[in-house]
Amino acid sequence: MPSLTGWPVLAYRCLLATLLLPAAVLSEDFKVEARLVWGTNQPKPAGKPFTALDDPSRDKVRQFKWTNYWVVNTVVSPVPHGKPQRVNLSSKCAIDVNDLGNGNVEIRLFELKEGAEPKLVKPVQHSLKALKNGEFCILAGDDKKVWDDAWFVILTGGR
Amino acid sequence: MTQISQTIMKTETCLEIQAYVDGELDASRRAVVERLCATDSEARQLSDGLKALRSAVRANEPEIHVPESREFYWSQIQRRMSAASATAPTTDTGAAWTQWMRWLVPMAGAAAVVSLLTLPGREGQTTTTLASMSPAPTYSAPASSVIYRSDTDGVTVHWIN
Repeated sequence: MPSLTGWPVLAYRCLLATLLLPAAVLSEDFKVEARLVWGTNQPKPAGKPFTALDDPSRDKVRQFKWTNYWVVNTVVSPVPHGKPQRVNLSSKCAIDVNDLGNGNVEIRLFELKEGAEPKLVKPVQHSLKALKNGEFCILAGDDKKVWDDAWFVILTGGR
Repeated sequence: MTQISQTIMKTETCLEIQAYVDGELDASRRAVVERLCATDSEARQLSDGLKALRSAVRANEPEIHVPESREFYWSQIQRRMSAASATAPTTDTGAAWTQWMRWLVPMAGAAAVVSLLTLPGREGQTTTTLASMSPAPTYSAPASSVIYRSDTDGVTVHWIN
């Protein structure tokens, strides 16, 4: 009677895993990392758990004038196909991401207010391939509450 | 001479009618102009025209909304004051009156700030400190944007106005 263990069975199992692994990888949603960043010339406020933006990311925003870039929040979100996935970056700001299926990802920025429906501020599209290749997609604007400060939402392929 | 004096008088009358419509005449002159408007058709026409123009301007003046909040402007004042005090000279110079000014000017400024802060705000918002805020997009209308792209750096920035 042939043995159920031994190298032929092991080889068969390895072959099966090798064939199935790419399918498992491909079926995973692409993940995007969104960071809410505060651009300011002010030092970090005392008691706030903000971290400084890492050097490679700082290099991407070197054209802007601010001295400090404080990461307020970081969220990693899958990019579903067809149905947008919303993530809150703060109590006042959210984005949702959606794979449009045409090679682009749509990112929509929302303003949040207590007791009100999220208000769409801006939809943008970016190449999915570019994000997977490590490109940065940044939404930014002047802070309307604080003079001379700015906010950034930095989107990259999830790490 | 008579023609010139008549023209000047007519101009003065027009100005007086305008002042009457604006409510700038005293009681005696107001009564005179009211009598004139009642008896003179030209004066009455001018008065009615000026009143209609005033109503049209007041009713149709466009409301201008600025996107920035009150805190935006106060934060600018706060930062500029901080920057000015950081670079202010520390040694005492000058006559006694300059030392008085050093106290009077900040106190007057503080009194102005307090009086403005106690005025009713647009949304009843309170002043926030730098430590309590976090940045957020705040837009009252669909936003326009400008796109910056660097192929070398592999970055696209959508700057939202």
